[in-house]
Amino acid sequence: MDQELNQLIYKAKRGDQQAFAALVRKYQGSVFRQAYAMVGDRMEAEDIAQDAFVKAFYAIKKLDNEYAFTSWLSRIVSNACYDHLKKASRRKNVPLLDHERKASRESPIERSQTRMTIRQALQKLSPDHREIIILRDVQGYTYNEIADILNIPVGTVKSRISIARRTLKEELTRGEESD
Amino acid sequence: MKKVTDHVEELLSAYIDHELTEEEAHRVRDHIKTCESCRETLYSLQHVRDQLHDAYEKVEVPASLEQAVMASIAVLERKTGVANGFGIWLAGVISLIVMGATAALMAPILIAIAKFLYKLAGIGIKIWQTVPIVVGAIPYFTVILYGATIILIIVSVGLLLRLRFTGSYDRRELL
Repeated sequence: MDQELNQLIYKAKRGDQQAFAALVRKYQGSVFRQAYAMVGDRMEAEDIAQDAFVKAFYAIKKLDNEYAFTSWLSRIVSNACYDHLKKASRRKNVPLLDHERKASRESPIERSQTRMTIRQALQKLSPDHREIIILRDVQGYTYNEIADILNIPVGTVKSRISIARRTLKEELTRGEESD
Repeated sequence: MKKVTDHVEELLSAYIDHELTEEEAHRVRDHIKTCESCRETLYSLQHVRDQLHDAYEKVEVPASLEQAVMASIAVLERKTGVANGFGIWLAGVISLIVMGATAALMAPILIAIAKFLYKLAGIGIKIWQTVPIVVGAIPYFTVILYGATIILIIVSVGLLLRLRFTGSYDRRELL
């Protein structure tokens, strides 16, 4: 962890709003990405990210280990996503809006179409499997870090990731077949 | 031909994440050399991982996120500040009420204590006022007082001189 980041966390822990704003700037991409991948809707993801950062501002005083800041923040986002999923009477399937899907079909870039498909497939996973595969493949955490964030054994992390990937593969294959 | 139980499908996901022990990784490497099915599964899992990573890697962050977060915090801080200010006032008012109520309840006891102290002070003053009368009733009181004082001074000086010249201790004992 670089000295500047350490300083920002140190100041934020003492209620320095400017330091916390700098942390928001630094981590907003990661936080928004995690929330967006989890709920599949930009507006909802923005609300979750905002909520997570506000919670982080008030909870940062209790952060014992500054070096664990990123995984601590990911845990807050993860909890915020679950709270959101609990509150929302969730649409059962693909949360992508119609215009987003249409836009992807109209895009000349084939890769964009693929992205939409993987995003759709991701939303079909259970929240537990979605969460863990996002932490691994989108956020890039190691199995040990994920075990720490989710407070579960590494063995569980390993098996959940394996199931999540296989389910995603099946969903994508099914999508290709139905096309 | 390999048996189905020899397949390593359950290890492939952790293999592409480099999360296997060296022994397990070796087993996977050996197996996929000869098993086309597991090799295909491995490639498709790698593809899924890469797709997922790419799909969110360049997601655009809402431009107003930072501003929205800090505005929410500012609103909450103001509310907390107002609540704290109100809390202080409320605590002050409650304290005054409690003190008033306590004083009202304790009034008879306080009055009784005050009366007792007043009487005690009266007795003290009367005793003090009788001292000159008692002294005045003793004949030659002043002469006796002066004489006793002079005798006391003479005795004290005598004791000091005796201590100085005769010495009642050995200095070496102290060294």
